[in-house]
Formats: sequence, C-alpha cells, structure tokens
Amino acid sequence: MNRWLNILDYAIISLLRRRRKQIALVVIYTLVVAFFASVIFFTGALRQEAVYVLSDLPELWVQRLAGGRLVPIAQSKIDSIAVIRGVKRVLPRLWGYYYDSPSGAVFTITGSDSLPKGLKLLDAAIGGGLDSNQVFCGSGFPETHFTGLGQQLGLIDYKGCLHSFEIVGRFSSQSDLLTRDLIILSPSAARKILGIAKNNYTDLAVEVWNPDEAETVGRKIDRLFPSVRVVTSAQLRSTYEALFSHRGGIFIYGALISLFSFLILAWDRASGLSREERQELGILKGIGWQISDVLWMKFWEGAVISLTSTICGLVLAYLHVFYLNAPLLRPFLIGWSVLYPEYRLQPAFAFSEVLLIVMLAVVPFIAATIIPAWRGAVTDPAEVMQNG
Amino acid sequence: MLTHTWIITQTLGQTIAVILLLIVVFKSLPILMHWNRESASFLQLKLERRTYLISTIIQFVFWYQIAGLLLFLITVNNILPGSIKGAMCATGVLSVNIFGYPLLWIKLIAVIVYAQFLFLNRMDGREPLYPLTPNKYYWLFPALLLVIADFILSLLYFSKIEPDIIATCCSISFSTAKDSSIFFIAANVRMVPMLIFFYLSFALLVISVIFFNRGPELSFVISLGFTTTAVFLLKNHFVKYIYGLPSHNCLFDIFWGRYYYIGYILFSALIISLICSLLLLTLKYIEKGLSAPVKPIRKILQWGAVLGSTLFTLLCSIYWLNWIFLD
Repeated sequence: MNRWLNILDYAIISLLRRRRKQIALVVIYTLVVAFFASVIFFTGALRQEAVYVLSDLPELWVQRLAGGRLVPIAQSKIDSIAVIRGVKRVLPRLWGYYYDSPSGAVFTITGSDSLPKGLKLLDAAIGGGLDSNQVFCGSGFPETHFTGLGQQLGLIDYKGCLHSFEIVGRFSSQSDLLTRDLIILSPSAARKILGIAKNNYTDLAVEVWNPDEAETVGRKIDRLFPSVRVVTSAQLRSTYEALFSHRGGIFIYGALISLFSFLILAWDRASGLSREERQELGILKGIGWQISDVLWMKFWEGAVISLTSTICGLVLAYLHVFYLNAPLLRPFLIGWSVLYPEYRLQPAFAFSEVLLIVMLAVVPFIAATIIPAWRGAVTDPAEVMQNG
Repeated sequence: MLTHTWIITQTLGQTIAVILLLIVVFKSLPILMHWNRESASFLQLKLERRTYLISTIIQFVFWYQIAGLLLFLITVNNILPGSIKGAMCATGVLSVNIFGYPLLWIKLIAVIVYAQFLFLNRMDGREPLYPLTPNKYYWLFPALLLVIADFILSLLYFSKIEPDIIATCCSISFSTAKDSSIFFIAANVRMVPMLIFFYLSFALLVISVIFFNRGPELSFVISLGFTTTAVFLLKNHFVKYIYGLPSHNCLFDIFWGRYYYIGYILFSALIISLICSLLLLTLKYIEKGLSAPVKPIRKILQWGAVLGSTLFTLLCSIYWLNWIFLD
C-alpha cells in the first residue's frame, strides 16, 4: 500500500514538474468531456421535464382522420365512447394553431371556459370562467406585442375578420414550457377563430379508471370507429424518450470523433518521450525500479490527468446546462420556433450519468496510453544513460 | 437503438476491449512458442518484458468488464424500461429479443475467466522464475472468444431492440407459468426441500472450505450447487420477502434504489464466493510449481468463499425471518 502511495506521490510530482506540457492536454480533454457531459445532462434533464409535463395528460386521446389528415370530430362520438366499460370521462377539446403575422410566431389557441388542470395564473383580473371577449394567455403574446393585463389582444378569424379580446389573466413563467405560446379563449370564441362548426371538436381526451387498461380501452375505440386514431400517453412518453435519446445519441457520435482525435493526440504525446523523460526513466530503472513500478507510475499519471480533466469537464458541463441553460445545445436539441419557452432546466444529477461520463472519458484515455507507457517502462537503463 | 448514449458508451468500451485483447493475444503467441526459462537470450528478455504489457492490459480489461457489467445492468434495469413499451425492469428488456439473456450470461462467465487469469498472473508474478508462464496464456483464448462474443451479442441485442414491440415483463411472465419451463418448475417444486438443500449446502460449503484443505474439488462442486440453489431460491422465494409482495417474483427489481440496491450486494457476495472456491481449486493444481508460501493466499480465498456465502445467506434469511416474526 505504502509503495503504491509513494509511486502516486512521485507521479504527481513528476506531472507538476512538467506542468506546461500537460496543460494543453488537460484543456482539450476537459473541453471534449464537457461537450458530451453537456449532452448527457441536457437530454437527462429534458427527459425528466417531459415526464413531468406528460404526467398531467389524460391516458388516451381520440382524433378523427380523413385522408390521413386531422379533421374535427362530431359530438355524437362522445356518448358512444363514454359507454365503453372502463372509461371514466370523455373531455371534448377545442384547439388549433394561429399564425400571428406581426410577430411571425405561431400560437396555440385553446377553447375552454375554465383553467386547464395543473396550470397556475400569475395574475388574473377575474375569478371565474371566461366571457366570450376575454382571454388568458402565456407570456409569449404580451412580450411580442408589448401589451399586458387588462389590454386588448386582436385575433383574425378564418374568414379574415378581426376580433378583439381583453387579456384577463397571464400564466406564471414556471409553466413556460407548456404555456409560452398558449392563448385560452372561451369555447364559442375559439370556434369562431379556428373555424370549427357547432357540435364539432378538435379531438377528445379520454380518462380511464385504471391506467393499466388504457391500452385495451384504446384498442376497443379503435375497433369501434374505423376513422379515428387513438394515441395513448404511454406512446407519447416513449416517443419523447426515443426522440431525446436519439438526438442526444447523434451528438455523442459527433463528440466521439473529437474524442478519437484527442486520443490520437494523447497516444502521440505518450509515445514521443523527450530526452529528459527517457533519461528519467533510465535513472529510475537504474536505481532499482521494476518494470511494474514504472508502469504503475505511468498509470497514475494517466489517471491523474484523466480524472482531473473529467472532473473539470463535469463541472463545466453542469454550469453550462443548469446555470447558463445550455446556450450551445438548446437550439439543436429542443427544436426551433420563434417563441422559445424561457425555462430553467431542473438540475437532474444521477449517479449513473456520472458513471457513464467517467466510462466514456477515462476508459479510452487509459487504453490509448497503456502501450506507450509500457514502451517507456521497458527502456533499457544502460542504453539510455550511455546514449542520452 | 444504437443512437442511445448508454449503448454508445458500452459499444465503444467493448470495441476497445476487443482491440486490446486482440493485441494481447497477438503479442502472447511468441511467448507461447518460444518461452524458455533457462535461456538468457535477447528474445527471452524481450518476451519477459512483453509479459508486463499483457498483464497490464488484462487487468485493465478486467476492471473495465466489471464496470461494464454494472453499466449493462443499469442500462437494462433503469434506463431502457422507459423506452420499451411494457417493460418495467430488466426482465422485460432482456426478453425483447433472443440475445438479451445470453449476453448477460456471457458477461458473467467472462468475469470469472478474467478472475482466473488474473489470479494465475498474480501467483506467477510472485515467483522469480515465472513457473506458470507460458501456460497461463492459454487462458487468453477463452477470454478473447468471450469478449468477441460479448461484442457481437451486444451489437445484435441493442440493434434489434424495437421500442414499439410490447415486451412481456413480470406481470405476464409470472402469471402464465405454462410458457416457460423454469416457472413451471418453480410452481411445482415445493419450497421446503429446496430451502433445506440451500441451508445444507451452505453449511457443507463452509465446513468443506475451512476443514478440507486437501479437497477443493469438493468445495467447488458444493459451491456450484449452492450458487445455483441460491439464485433459484432468491428468484422464487426470498425476493417476495425483500419486496414484501407474495406475487412478485422479479429478480431484477432488487437492484433498484427502492430496495436499497440490495441486489448488488447479494450478487457480488455470491460471485465472490463462487470465484474464491474456483480459485482454491486452481491453487491446488498450481501449488506444486510455486516456491513462495501459498498459505496466506489460501487463507484469503477461504475467507472470501466463506464470507461471501455467509453474507448472502444471512441477508436473505434476515429478510425472510423479518416477515415471519413481523406477523
């Protein structure tokens, strides 16, 4: 044990003695680790965000398709679905997208006379439901139009007529990911803007008593009505999961190339021993160091370099993702839109992620330096000391 | 699925392991052919130097494989169930295609083979004359085969996971016992004889390891019997008491934080016990050629075999007794 500690001690002293040579290596190594650690942290946090967001959704929703495209669904379907055993409630939904030409942004319009489940208003002028000339909106519209609570919001309906609404409530920024682009109108006003006829809805949300039965109830609905598409929240969850992992994975592949080029640098650095280094090894062996001692020393040197860089990289990635909100990765990983939700990622720091990053960073480095280290360790002391 | 970060990391690690082992096997061929302990030629000196490289690489690959096994367990038990419909833990994830379980077995066997080589290497390194060289290098061939099999199976397994196919996890695999013979057996074998056999084999293992130094074959056979019974009983009997659910026979949920990661402790104890009894057997066969005293080594291995099996038995029994006395 003592012998190992002495060798470690020597390795650290020898690294510090040649610190100028190591700094460039450590800096590049740190940057490479920081890059893929950022991707891992970021996708992990997004995945958690998606789980949190999707937890409030109903288990099933039913959409009507015609020619592969979404069309409004008739109210009569509600009663037919509500009688299926296992169904708790069928909630008709009115929603659609609205292109706002002054700001160039696309807003989501929802028709509802009360607040959707799980959303909180930051400030509200009214206590109860919405009148036909009032709206609740997310932070997107007031920001792009420089308006606020109590002021007017103009929307053009599908026929081209302008309608004016009073903003009576704004959502808090905590739910920005969900509500940034949201405008909630009363159902009658929403029908007018979106052009949905009376007794028609955009789609239906279905709540079931037992979430485990959602899949079966969904299959039943599918069989009863040939023109509908049934989406389960479990499907949505795995789609998001797959999407984030897939995008993250593509980034990691990109990072692997930089890792490989870095490894070539490390390999080259480890095999091209300078004259002093060769002499040092020769002297160490001359005074009685075994090949295994020198190998251990080289191993400790590699371990110190790679652990230092990995820890620095982890800290950098943590700051980048959770403190600065991942400015370098966000545009590529979450999609593109004029209205970006301004939200803070919740620090999701799993031990398994750290293990993953350490494996990705340390294993290839040590592997790349084993053979050069051995070459150095088997140097013949007499030869080195004679030839210099 | 090959774009998943966890899978990329493992595939990268496996690729490195295959490359390093290929280098090692290639470098060990001259040692196997030309090693001559008595010679003082330059070739012999070169070969002796080469042994250091080989043992360093094998040590590295061994530790990587241990970490890789951990990474694989986390992947199939905690990460992938989120992406595979119907899968709640590794049972569902491993059974999404035919490569899952063989992959897990290969990884476990590989750990034992590396342990065997590292032990031989360690014993050899203690001697000035390297009595076990070059014969110990024959172990590199099964190690290489296992690492290649591991690599190919990993690629096949991960690339053939289709997230939209519904996996049959515990809920289904345990309710329809007729599908699989092992569940069929489990439903029919009475637990009491198995439990008696388990505790008996544990007692026999401890006695044979401590008192019959000359017969490690016996201890190894008992250890094999003990390990098999232990895994069978853990799956069909003890886990119920760990979960506190009589219907839940899942072998992989015990690796979750919810159950205090007890699975890692239980399986580490079991594997350590098995490896130590195997190494005791190995020690008997190489003992004659060794000049340094082997007694302390044997003592460590005996302690490993006894403590590992005792820890496993004790932990399982505590869970079980806790429920008996609680009611």
